Parts: sequence; structure tokens; C-alpha cells
Amino acid sequence: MSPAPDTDRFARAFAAARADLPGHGNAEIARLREAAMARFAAAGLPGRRDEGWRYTDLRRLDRLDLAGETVRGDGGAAPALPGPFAALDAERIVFVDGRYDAARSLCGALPAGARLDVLSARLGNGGGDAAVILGPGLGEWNGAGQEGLAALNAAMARDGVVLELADGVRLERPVLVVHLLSGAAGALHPRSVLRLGAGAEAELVEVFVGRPGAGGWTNSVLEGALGQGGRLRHAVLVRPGADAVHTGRMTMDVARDAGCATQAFTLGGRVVRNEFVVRLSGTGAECSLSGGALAHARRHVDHTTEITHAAPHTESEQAFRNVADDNARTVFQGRVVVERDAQKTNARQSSRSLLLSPGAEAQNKPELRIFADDVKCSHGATVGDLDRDALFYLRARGIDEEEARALLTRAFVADLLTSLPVASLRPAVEEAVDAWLRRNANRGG
Amino acid sequence: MLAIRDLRAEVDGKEILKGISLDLAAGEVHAVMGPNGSGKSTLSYVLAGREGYEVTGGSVTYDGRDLLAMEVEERAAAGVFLAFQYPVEIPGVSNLTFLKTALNAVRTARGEAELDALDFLKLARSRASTLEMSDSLLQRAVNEGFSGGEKKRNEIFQMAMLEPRLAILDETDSGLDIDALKTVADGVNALRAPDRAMLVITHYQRLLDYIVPDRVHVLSDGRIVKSGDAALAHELEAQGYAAFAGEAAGV
Repeated sequence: MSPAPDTDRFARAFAAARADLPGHGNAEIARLREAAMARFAAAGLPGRRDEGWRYTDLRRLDRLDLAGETVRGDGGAAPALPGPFAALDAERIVFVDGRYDAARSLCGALPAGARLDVLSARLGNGGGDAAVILGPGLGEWNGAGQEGLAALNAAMARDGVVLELADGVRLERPVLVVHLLSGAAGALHPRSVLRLGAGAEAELVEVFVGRPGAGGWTNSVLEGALGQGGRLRHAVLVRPGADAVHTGRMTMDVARDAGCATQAFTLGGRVVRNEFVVRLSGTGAECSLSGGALAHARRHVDHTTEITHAAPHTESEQAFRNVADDNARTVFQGRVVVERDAQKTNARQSSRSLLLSPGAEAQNKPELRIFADDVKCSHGATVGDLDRDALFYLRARGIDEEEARALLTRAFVADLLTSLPVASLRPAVEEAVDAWLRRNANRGG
Repeated sequence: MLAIRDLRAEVDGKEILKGISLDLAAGEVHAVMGPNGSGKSTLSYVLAGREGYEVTGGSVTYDGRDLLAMEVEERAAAGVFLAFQYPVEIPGVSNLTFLKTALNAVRTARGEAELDALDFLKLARSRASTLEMSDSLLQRAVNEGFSGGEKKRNEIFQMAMLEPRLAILDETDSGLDIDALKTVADGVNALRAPDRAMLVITHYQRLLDYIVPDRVHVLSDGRIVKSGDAALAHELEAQGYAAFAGEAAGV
């Protein structure tokens, strides 16, 4: 099959980068990357013709210089790790412009049966189970066809983490994976892989922080599987530079009686698309997905979820809060699929959008595809502006309008903050949200 | 302190206040009584500056300033406080956060230093205890899930914290049982002071047994039809509003 025209430049970038990618001397790894590139060529970049991409346009990538793909950005110093993250008691692994930075990373001893590798080192050493790390797996599964962005990520992946826990192993501290982004251009494809054995438990935090003016493209993948009774608590904070494009995709296979709780906050970037794809593959599996999308100026933030109930007695819960100011746009798409055998499924979804200015927009697209007959599924979506009565009440107590609006906007996402899956992360996320609110208020309306 | 002159106001193009004049001096408590629809709440909202209430004539002077030209929050900072008839529930904002933000905004406007978290908490706890408000009410989201009585107590608690110069109590008695009424009235009476004026708006005379006013004004169809001392409230209770409305019509 000949590649579609828009994939040519990616093919050229791959050809230029391959000899420098981790594991390049290993035939198996080279084959896996070739195969991934072929899958990308077949699928292409998602576009508006694709049902799941009607609201989010990646054509902005056409304007980005991708010649420096996987190469360190040239935009000067990397941003510092925000204080509250630096203070987090965690196994900390830091990447600067897509490359592991040992000096900024800090890991303690892990319990027996736990293995935490930096992806570049793992592939550089021959990979071990390279197919698990770079193969299509669930990471490119989307219920329909191939997932082009995830395939491109597998072809071009340079760094990330590989976390493997044997049966029954529990990590004491969260694993904090930080991506600091300085670049004005270029593309990064961070890739992390998670394998939790039966009854294993972990907390994982992923942070993407860009310099305020940074651009470029980050195309991130987290691909995970939880064994029977395993537990993952997972939080993501995406705050790239004002001109950056960010596409992130988490896929998680959740086995019998296992549970995954994920929460994402997206606070910036020119165009951001965060996808959360979960397959509840064993009886009694459950997941909770939640997220806050906060966008101002002309930013575009898309949170898209797909939860497949593939086994009976599975449960899912979703709560998304979207805030758009100025001419920003938020998108929430939540698809719940209940397969024929997934009886006694319980799925709840709520999406609420707040519009802070007349030029702001919110798209909400809940979608239920139910093939079983004994299930409980609900969804609710609302769009509105700030409560006038509440605003008057606050002002009548002496709080000026800007501050009153900030208080009410914060209140709109407050239930997310109190339900963060990684509780110790709360001060860091609160600070990030408050900084967004202040920046918004300080622009003077 | 407060001089209202021939105040006229509309809501949705309908004239509700049809020329109200009233003088309230520092240290005084005036009651405004009237039946439903007489314009009592409109008067309180116009004084507080709520949007949707359009002033079409007259003036309101507060401490020599044109009150109607001030923003809502400016009025509050200048010492005007409205105890709401229907306090608003604000999920996600804790009562304490709300009040600390409000108090510090008002203090800053007055040229006073902001209170730090500890001093604020001490002050809040001591004022709350006199109103029999539990710690949990302070921690909870503003008015969310509060009973009617708890909401009204919370209003008076805010008033005690913000120490306004002019307090407007809009039907603070509605929805209160007799015990709650006494607690709230005690809270209000404790705040009576020579430099503070209060406008107590109520439908019923009952509240005025506990908060004894210096003057009583009867409001009917957007006008004050009669003013008198505290005895007028009892007269109203005995005769009903209809008699006074008739008097107005006869003028």
C-alpha cells in the first residue's frame, strides 16, 4: 500500500531518525518499528473524515517544522519542574525534550518483583520483550481500525518508562513521570508501558510541562494492562506551551476484579487531544475516568474517552468538567460500549461545560453503544455559564467580579480536585489550576 | 446615613417602586413592612445593586455618596450588607473560604490589613459560636444542603463577620421556627450599635417583638403609605394590610 500524501513527511522523518533511535542495532526492534511505520502509513493521521475527530483538527501539524523529529528542541532552557511536583514523595523520572535526564531524576529502592526501566535504556539493551513495548497491543486498538498516532509513536518512540510489577507487588510511592518541554518546534513521541500482575498496585503520575511560549508536537502513549485484582491510580497533568500541539493516548486493559482510576487536567497548549481508552475485559473490572479541561485564548482542548465493557458485572464512572474562556473551545467525547456478554454492567457518565465568554465553545458528545440487555447506563451533559445569582451573592459580600468569577470557576472543578486518584498530588494540581485561574483573571476580563 | 428620595424602579419594564422616600440615621433600626408584592424585596435588591432592577427615578445617598452609582462590591466594601431572603447555595466553595475572601476584600477596601488564616479562623469560630453555628457548617460549601434556619443564621454570621454600617435584612424571619428566630434576633440585636443602621424588611410583626425598631414604614404597591413608631407594627397585625392599602388609595 502506498502511503497517503500527508504521511510522506513522517516517513522521511522516520528514515532520518531511525539510525539514532534506541535499539536501532537490534533486528527485532528495527522490525517492530518498520511494522509500526507501515501501520501508520496505512492509517494516516486522523482527520475530520474520522468519526472521532470531527471537532479536533490536526492540520495545524502541517505548519509545524517536523524536520527535527525526536531531536531535542532548540528553544533554550527547559522549564523547571514546578515546586509542588518536585516536593512530591515519589519515584521521579524526568525527561527533557523527550530524553531521559538522570540528573533530575530520583528513584529509591523498589520492592522485589518491581521493575522500573527507562525505555531508551531498555531498548538499548536489546529490549527484553520488545514486542510488548513496541507492538500494537491494546495501544492501537480503538474498536474500529488501526490507530495511526499510536503506531507513529511506536515507530518513533525514544523514551518513557516501563513499569512492571509481579503478582501482589505494591509500590510504596507513586511513580512520577515528568516531561519538560522547551522546544519551539520538533516532535516528541514519549511512550510508557505498564504491566501490573495479579493484585499488584501502583500510582502513576504523568506530567507534561512546556515553557509558556513553547510550540512543537508531543505525541504521547501510555499503554497498560492490569492483572486480576490489580489497582492503578493514575493522574495526568498536561500544560504544554501556548503554541504546542499535544496528542496523548492512554489505553488500559483491566482484568477480572481489577480497577483503574484516571484523572487528567489539561491547562494549556494550542491544540490538545487526550484520549483515554479502557477495556474492562474481566468480570468485576471497574474504571473511573475524570478530567478537567481548562482553555482560554484560542486554545482547543479535547478529552475523548472510550470504555468497553467486555465482561459481566463491570462498572465505569466518568466525570468531566470543561471550562472555556475567550475564544477557546473544549471538546468532550465519551463513548461507552457494552458488549453482548457484558450483562449487569453499570456505566455512568457526566460531562459539564462552563462557558466564561460569549466567544467560547463547548462540544459534548456522549455516545452509548449497548449490545447487552441487562445493563444500567446513564449519561448527562450540561453547558452553561456562571450562575448569576451566585455571582451577585459573592459580589454583595464585597468580592470583586473577577475574583468572584475565579472562585466560582474553581468551584466548578472542585469535585475533581477532591477526588484525585493520587491524593498526594492534590497540592500540585491545585496550584496549577489556581495559576490558570489567576492568569485568566489577570488579563482583565 | 441613608437618604432615599422618591425612588422609582422597574423590573422587566414593570414599575415596582413608585416613589419611596426614607431617612435612616446611624444607630437606628427601621422596619419596612408590607404584603407580598408591595416591593419590599425590590427595595432591598435595588439598594444592594442587583442587576435586572432598573432605577428609573429618584436618588439614594449613603454617607453622602450616590449609592446607585456604585458597583455591587463597592457598596459592600463601603459597609452595605444585604441579608438575603433566599441565600444562594454555592457548591464547591467552602463557607470559610468564601468568608475569608469577602472579609479581606472589605478590609482592604477600608484600608485595614488582611487577616491571616489563623486570626481569621479564631474570629470566625467565636462569632459562629454565639449564633450556635457548628464547625461543620463553617467547613461545608456555602449554604449547600443547609436547612432554612441554618441559611438565615449563616447570613447573620456573615453580617457579624463583615461588621457593616448599613444592614438590610430581607425577610430574615421567613422559614424560621420560634427558637431559630430568637437566635437570629439575638444575633442581630448584638450588632445594634450607635454607628450602625439597620433596615429590617418583613411581612410579619413577629420578628419585631424581638428586634424592636425605632420606626416602622408600611409599604403598599411600591409606596410608603404610613410611618410610625414600633406600635404601628402591632396596629398592622391587628388590622391587616388591607386597611392601609385603602388609606393609600384614598390619598
